[in-house]
Amino acid sequence: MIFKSHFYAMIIFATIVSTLLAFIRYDKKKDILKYGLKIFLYMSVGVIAFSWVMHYV
Amino acid sequence: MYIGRNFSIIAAMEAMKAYNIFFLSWLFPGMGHIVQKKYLKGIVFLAGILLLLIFGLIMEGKFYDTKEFHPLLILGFLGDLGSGAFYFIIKWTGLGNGNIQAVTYHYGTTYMVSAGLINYLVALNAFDIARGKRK
Repeated sequence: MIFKSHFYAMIIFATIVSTLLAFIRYDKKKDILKYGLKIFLYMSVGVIAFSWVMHYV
Repeated sequence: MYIGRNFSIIAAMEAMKAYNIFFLSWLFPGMGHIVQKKYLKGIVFLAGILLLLIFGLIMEGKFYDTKEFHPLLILGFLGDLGSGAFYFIIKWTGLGNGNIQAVTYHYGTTYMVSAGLINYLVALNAFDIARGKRK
């Protein structure tokens, strides 16, 4: 099952949540796309960064 | 004076309408937007929240319960309750009990509580649109 991979589970979660938050926050398509992408990158890059930190702590 | 009273009645009715839309949006995710002719947003919210719940169930996550009184469990329960009618349907069908032995248990639980928390934001957004504070 795809969800057994923590990475894929996180990516799917970040995709859905960032889409929903972007649609809540903005009305114009361009703004939605920009904000959604930004939130998605914050979430996914943030998780990878914290994972590395936890690996070394 | 008469005109003023009329205005206050209209304002009270508008406020009631906004609260009804908030309740409707909480009960059926996305419906508050659909009622206000924001079809695309309504469908996206409904689909997104349903996907989070379905994936959470596939991952054998659980809904928090209130059998033990603990502040964190209560907060989790309140988050889950945000899914509205879906919360009650899943509870009654017994699907939301979870399986703690599953590898994906914690992720599933997170997916399910997130669905509820996001639906609170969706309902507040519908409320703001109804009050004319947002487009």
